[in-house]
Amino acid sequence: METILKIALAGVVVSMLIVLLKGMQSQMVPLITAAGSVLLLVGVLNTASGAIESIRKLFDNSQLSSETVKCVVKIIGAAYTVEFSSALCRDFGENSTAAKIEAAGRVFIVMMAVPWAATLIETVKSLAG
Amino acid sequence: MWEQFIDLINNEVSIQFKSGGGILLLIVSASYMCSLFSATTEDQNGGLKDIISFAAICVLCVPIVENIKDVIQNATQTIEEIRTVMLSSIPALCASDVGSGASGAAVFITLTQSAAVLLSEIFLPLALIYTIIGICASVSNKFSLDGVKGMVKFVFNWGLGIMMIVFSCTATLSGALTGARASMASRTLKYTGAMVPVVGRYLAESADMVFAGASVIKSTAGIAAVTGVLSIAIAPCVKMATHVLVYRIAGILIRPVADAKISNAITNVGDAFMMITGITALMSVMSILNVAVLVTLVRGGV
Repeated sequence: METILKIALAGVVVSMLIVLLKGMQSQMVPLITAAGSVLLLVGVLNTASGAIESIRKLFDNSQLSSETVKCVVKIIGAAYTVEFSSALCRDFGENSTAAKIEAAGRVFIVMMAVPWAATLIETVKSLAG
Repeated sequence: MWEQFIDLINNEVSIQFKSGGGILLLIVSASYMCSLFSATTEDQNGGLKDIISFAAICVLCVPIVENIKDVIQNATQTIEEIRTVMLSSIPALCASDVGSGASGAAVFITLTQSAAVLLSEIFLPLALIYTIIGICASVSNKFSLDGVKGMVKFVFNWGLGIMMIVFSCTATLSGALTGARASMASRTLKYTGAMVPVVGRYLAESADMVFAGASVIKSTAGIAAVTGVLSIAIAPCVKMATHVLVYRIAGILIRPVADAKISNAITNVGDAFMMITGITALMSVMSILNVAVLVTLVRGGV
């Protein structure tokens, strides 16, 4: 409960700073926005690290290969990174840059899935053969 | 002997649940992670959500299809072993009088062997095709494969149904399995047999034949042949039924939160495992009925 209160308060303080600086030193606003966003993200990651560790231990005890889980986590991580970056660019007014980041993210995620799709096709071919 | 039998089933179930638990964990965690992303991002990233679902399905399907590959190979091997047991038991079953029942026995042997070939060469590949089409259909909403999937399932169900009808009619016409009683056990089997996936309806209708057949398998050779079939078929059937349970549990756990694509893919895989389990169970029942018919035809000369 304390963690979410800290994150919420930090978000409110960053927003107030941005509003105050817009009238005085508007060139500082993008920096404050980026710093505040990174701060909030780090706070959320610290909160989630305990849960991630528990899930990692569960998979270590199972008979499944860890490569599959790592790939899924990388895909979700890449999606969140793209979403975070594109939202930040939109806050700066750079919609075209945000769209390009999203396009790059889609290509990256598809490229990560292509080897698995190839393995899947090979497995099906071996079944049919 | 019963204790050994129960120990065998317990061991098989626990081994399969341990290996299936890893896949269950993977499916549930991947689905929950994807749904977490969908819930915490804005609608403007709709394209990204579709790409993530596609990537998650590609990654999830590799261990799942490996699983299906093992089960299909297991089912093919089981059907082949049951065929071998049936063929090797014929000399023992025919050891006594080989009278006029020999021609009927030959028809039945041919029928069962043909059924085994059809099951392993046509129906098992149909189950695999159904799985692949189901996974492809769930990958994207842009193209629909529901019609093809429905046609494959239609061919599968009707093909099995026609095969059972031919088998049942031949058994009835031979007169080998008669004198069925409408006993409590027979009615119970009819009621519970319908719950068996895929082939339950056919097994329930043949309940009378099963009980009539059980009453004629009194010879040592008959019991030995049935024991041979059961010992081959029990472990694979338990293994496949455990896989069905694992994927059904996965489908139930992810349905409230997961993307429809992932949920449909897992449901289709569960259906495919049920089809494969049904094929193996059907082969076992047909083999047991075949033993009963052989014993009656050869000994009684009907």
